[in-house]
Amino acid sequence: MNAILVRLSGYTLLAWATAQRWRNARRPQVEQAWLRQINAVGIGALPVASVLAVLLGAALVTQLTTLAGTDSDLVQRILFLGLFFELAPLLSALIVVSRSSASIASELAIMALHGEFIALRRLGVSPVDYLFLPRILALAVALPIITLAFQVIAVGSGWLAVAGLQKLALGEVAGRFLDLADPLLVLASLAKSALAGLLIGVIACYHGSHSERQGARDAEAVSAAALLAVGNGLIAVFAVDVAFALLLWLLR
Amino acid sequence: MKDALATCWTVCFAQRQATITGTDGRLTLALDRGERQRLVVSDAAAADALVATLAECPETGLLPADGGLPGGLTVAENLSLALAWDATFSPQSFDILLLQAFAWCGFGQDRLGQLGRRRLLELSPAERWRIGLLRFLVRPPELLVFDRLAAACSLAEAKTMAEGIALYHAVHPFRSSLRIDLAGERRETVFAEGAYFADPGVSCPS
Repeated sequence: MNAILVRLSGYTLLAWATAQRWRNARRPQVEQAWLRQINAVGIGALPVASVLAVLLGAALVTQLTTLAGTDSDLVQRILFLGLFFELAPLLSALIVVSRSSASIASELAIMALHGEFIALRRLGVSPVDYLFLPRILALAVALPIITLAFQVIAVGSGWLAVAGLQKLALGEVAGRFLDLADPLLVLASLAKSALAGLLIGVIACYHGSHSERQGARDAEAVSAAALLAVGNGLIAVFAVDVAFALLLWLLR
Repeated sequence: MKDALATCWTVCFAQRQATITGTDGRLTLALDRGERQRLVVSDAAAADALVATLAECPETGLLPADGGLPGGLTVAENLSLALAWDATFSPQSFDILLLQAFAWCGFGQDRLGQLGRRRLLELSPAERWRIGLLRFLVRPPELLVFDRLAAACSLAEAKTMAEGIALYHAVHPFRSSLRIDLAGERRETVFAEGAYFADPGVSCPS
């Protein structure tokens, strides 16, 4: 319990320290670092996310049609609420956690072990400004973009599956989906992704920069940092998911 | 030189002088007379404590044997952070001075093209140290501290560093420097020979 409280307070302090220095994101060096991170985290994840989205959209519709029959409205409603609002942000976050969280934590752990945080401070550069802020910002921006791409591709794949299985015109399928879609839920799904991205970034940066204090040295410390970042990142993603589900239930 | 057994140090910058005080005594340097002093420390812990104290002073620049820059970042990133983070330079003077400094440090035009995107840890130790020196050639501090250069380096690296120290003082004749050495380092004589103590005007610490 003590360890959990220590970690939660660590995450909070790091998030607060980073938020207080948000103005430094305008520095040219931080901007370049941030853009590099968006490329690595966001653009790098799009191929995997796209393939998963195509497969998931088709698989979900096929299963629904098999189990629930050819009720197009039911399929469309589940496609929107289940896939678009729930599964797309969740799976996008899981892709980012598995790819980027481990990579960020490992990179920072290696830098910490080689004294590069001290070297940065001696240059007069805060590690929060140059190392944490770009990564956290990049994840907060990139994850909603990946989610949006996932949603569009998965829904498109689902439409094609519905049209094929239920022998309907694609235009009619799309029209029924758009009639059922709620713009507020679309925004809520992107907000959920942005928050998940923030938390994944904070957790990865925390464990990467605290690797020495986790009691292990060298390679063990690096792998421990990566494992903790991924494990706690996954928990954070699902916690955000549950929180948004409760919030929507309360609002409705 | 001054033997120092202390692990507790104070450093004071006042009236254009730097005063380093340990339990065994005191060393004073004038900051704008091109003084070169040497402080021999008995053990690594004392040296670490002294370096940590000096690092907290904004007037000092530290140049250890590994160049003092983060190895995981590229040369371009490191120089951008070291020279332009606080953006007090105008872009034009930055470019001219930097090219000049690369030439002084022996980096030819063909090498420059490859260097920017290489990470520091991919470079040889001598090149890595020269990049560290390069930033102080462009933006010299009030007091440049050479931290244990003679420790665990080859003869060739030691000679490169000795030449680098001489270069720094040739480019900035009025800037002072302090060398921190551990007692009994095997490369001491390389730094004791040649340009470092060649100038009779340099005050040799007793």
